[in-house]
Amino acid sequence: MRNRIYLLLAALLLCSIRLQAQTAGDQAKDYLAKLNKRQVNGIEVTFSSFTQGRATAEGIVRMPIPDPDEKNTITCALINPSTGKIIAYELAIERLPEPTKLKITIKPADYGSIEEINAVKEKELKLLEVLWPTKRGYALTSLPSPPEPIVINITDVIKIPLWVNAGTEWGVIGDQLRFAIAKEPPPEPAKDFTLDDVKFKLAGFRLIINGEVRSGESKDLDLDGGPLPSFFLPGKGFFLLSLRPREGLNFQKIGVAEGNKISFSYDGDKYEWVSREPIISQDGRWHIWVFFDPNAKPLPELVEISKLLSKGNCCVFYEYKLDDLPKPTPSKK
Amino acid sequence: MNHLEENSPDRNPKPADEVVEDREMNNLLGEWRPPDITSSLDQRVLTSYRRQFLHKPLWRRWLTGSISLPAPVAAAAALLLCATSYLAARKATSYTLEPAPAISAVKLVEVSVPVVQQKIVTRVVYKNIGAPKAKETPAPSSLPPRIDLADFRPVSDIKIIVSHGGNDEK
Repeated sequence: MRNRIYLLLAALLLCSIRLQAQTAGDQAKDYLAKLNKRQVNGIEVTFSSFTQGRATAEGIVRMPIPDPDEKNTITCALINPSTGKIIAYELAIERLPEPTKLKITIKPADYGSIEEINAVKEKELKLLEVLWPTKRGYALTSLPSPPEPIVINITDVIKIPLWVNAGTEWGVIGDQLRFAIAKEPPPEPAKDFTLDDVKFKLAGFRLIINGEVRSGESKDLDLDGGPLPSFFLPGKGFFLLSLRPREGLNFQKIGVAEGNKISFSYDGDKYEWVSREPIISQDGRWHIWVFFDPNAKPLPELVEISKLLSKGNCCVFYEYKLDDLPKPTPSKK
Repeated sequence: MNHLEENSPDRNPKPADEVVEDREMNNLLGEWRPPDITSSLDQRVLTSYRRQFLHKPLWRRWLTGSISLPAPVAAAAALLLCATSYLAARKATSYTLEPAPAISAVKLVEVSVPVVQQKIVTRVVYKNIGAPKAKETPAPSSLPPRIDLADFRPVSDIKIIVSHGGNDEK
C-alpha cells in the first residue's frame, strides 16, 4: 500500500503557510497544533504530549493525519528537529458492540517502497529542512515491533512512549491520546450562492509564460477549493485571480477561464495557467479579474518549498482565502 | 455639765449616794419646761438648711455629698469593681505585648544578612564541582540545565500505558 504521509504532509504545510511576517516554520507549527483533534470512525481523538523523567516535548512537531483510504486509521508523524529523526505510527480505532469499548491497534507507519522512500528524501524531507533547519538532515525511523491490540474504555487515556533518553538522565517523550464520541457539527445555515462559492480547481498544473513552461507539472501542486488562486513570479510580482472584482483592490478584467486553462496578458507578457482537470466545473468561457501587486513578496522559505515541489518551478503558488484580503476602507464623502 | 451623758445606761455602776443625786436630778428635769418655740424658728432653720445644702452647686453636692448603701449592695459593687479592675489589667497587659511585631520586623532585617551568606555558600558548592567562575555567572543555581532533544532516541520497545481514572497500567 502506498503510503501518503509525506504527500499529505506537503499539502498540509503548504495550506498552513500564509504570506505573513512569521517564519514559515512557525506558521506550520501553529497550524499543526490546531490539528491535534482528529476524527475517525465516529471517534474524536485528542493528541497531546506526555513526558516522564527529565524530558520536555517542547520542539517536537506532531502531524496526525487521518488516512483517506482507511476510515478508522490516523497516521501520526512526529518530528524531532534536534535530531532530524522522524517517527510515524498508525493508530487504528475499532468500535466494539459495547459502545463504551474501543479496540486500539498501534503499528509502525508504512513508509512505502525503497523508491518511494528515496523520493521522499528528495522532496518532502528537504521541505522539512527548509521549515525547521537541522544540522543532520531528516531521516525516517522505523518503530520496533508493534504492541498487541488492546481494548479500552472510551474514557481511558493511553500513552505511547516514542522517544527515550537512556543517557545519564533518564527521560521519555511520547503521545497521550484521549478519546470521545465525535459530535456531529451543527448544520451550516443556508445562504445565497455567490461567485465566491465557485472553486477553482488547479491540479497538477503548469504555468506557461510567453509559450514557455516555467513551472513543471507536479502531482503535489494542487490548488483546490478556493475562489482566489494566486502566484508570485520573482522579478515581476504577485498575481491574484478572481471571478469578480473586489472592493479596495484594483482588479482588471483581462483574463479568460475556459476548460483546463486560464489565460491573460499583462505588461506585454502572456500567461497561461494549465490544469490537469477543468478549472471551473461549469462549462463555458468566463471572465477572470486579475489583481497585480509588484511589491508583494512571499516568505523565502515558501519560495524554496515551491521549488522543491515542482521541477523547474519558477513561482510560489498560493490559494488565498477571502479573509486574507485587505478589508475595504469606507469611502470618504 | 451634761446630764444626759452622766445618766446614760452604759456608764459604770455608781455608789449609792451618787444614785440618790441622780434621782433628784431626774426629778428636777421632769419638772422643767422648755421655753415656747417661736414661729420664726422653723423659718430660720429651713432657710439655713436651704442655704447650706440645697443651694450648693451641683458639682459641689456631688463632691461633698454622700450616699448610704446597704452592705450587700456595697459588697457586690466592690466585687464588681475588683473584677473589672482585673480584666482591665489583663487587657492592659496584652496591649503591652503589641510592640512584639515591631521587634520581629527588626529581626527580619537582621536575618537578611544570613540569606546573603547562604547564596555565597551555594556558589561555593558550584565552585567545587568545577565551575571556577560560578560567582560571575548570573544565578545558575536556580535554573535547571536545559533539556536537549538531541539526546532522545526512538524507543526500542513500545509499551502502551493505559490510564483508568488516573491509574496507569502497562
